Amino acid sequence: MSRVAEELARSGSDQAVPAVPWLVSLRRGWRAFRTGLAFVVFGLGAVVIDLLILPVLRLVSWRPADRQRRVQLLIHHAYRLFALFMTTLGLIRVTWVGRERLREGPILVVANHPTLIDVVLLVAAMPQAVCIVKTAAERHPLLRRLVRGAGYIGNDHPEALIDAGTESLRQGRSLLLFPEGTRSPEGRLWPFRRGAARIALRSGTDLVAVVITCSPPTLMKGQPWYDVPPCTAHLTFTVKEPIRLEDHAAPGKTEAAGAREVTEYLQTFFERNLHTGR
Amino acid sequence: MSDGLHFERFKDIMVNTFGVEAERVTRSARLIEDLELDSLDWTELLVVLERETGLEISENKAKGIRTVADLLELIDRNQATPA
Repeated sequence: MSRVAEELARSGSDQAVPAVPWLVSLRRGWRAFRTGLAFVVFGLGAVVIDLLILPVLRLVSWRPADRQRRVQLLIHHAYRLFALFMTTLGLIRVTWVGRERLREGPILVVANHPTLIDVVLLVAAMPQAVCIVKTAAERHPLLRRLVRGAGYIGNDHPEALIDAGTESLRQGRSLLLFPEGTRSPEGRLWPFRRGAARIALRSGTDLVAVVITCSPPTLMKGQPWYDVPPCTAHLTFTVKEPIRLEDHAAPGKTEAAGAREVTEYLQTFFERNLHTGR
Repeated sequence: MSDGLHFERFKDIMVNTFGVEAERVTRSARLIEDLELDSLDWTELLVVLERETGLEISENKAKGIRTVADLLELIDRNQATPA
């Protein structure tokens, strides 16, 4: 079986396997072109928002909290449009289970991170969310003003991250973070960091787990954008019932001990749901 | 031997404050790899040890420490030669 046919079989795709090699290459090339186009549109969108919309929002929003909320809502709508664009291009197909659970806040959302696109789709499903972002995003020329404007939290100082995340939840703002701290390796998970559990314990907020799968894999960590899958990537988002902290952290424990316990539970929970390991 | 911190007391701290299973806490256990202390745990541990021993253990001093034995030895050394 050819590599393409194997990938299609593994992905369970119902798309017919093209028999002609040049047709296979053509289809891949066409998909790579559309993927590149999506990146260009994303970049242009960020420039338009950065140069035209953010300055207006700054003018009409005096209070920093109002401004952040508006920028978050703006990103939410921009990501919704972008998700629609990617779906229309045939690059992704998305299935949601329990999506309505993301609309109520404040919630602390934790998810695995199999692909670059999942964060876009998660934010597109949450009208208001404070994201935890990498330092690279805070410094990225296209994203830094958006990141700052939305009040997103950098992940380079763990104690500051936990304080800021806790404060966001206390002020009624939902939080989205990836406990692995980076994109998941193919078919596995990195060991979870304990920041999410500490924020949950400190703020007394239950965790909402979103289990994400992407088949065939695409835009994984280290995978170039032009290394496209042979068919439309199917992403599934399963939003689980909130994980009650009191069921997994014994009362009277220190925050450090509780965070260790909750994080171990979370890791096992995701591994069980993804049928995977570390 | 140190009056500052005995192994058994250190083990108590690891179990009760940081939730590490008692059987994993040995003198040769590596703090990060075996006991899985993260950066926040590590900062907290230094504060707890300072409270327990009265010694100030700066992050700088603690830089080369890998195992439980290294840490206890550092405390011993500091106890013996106060600044």
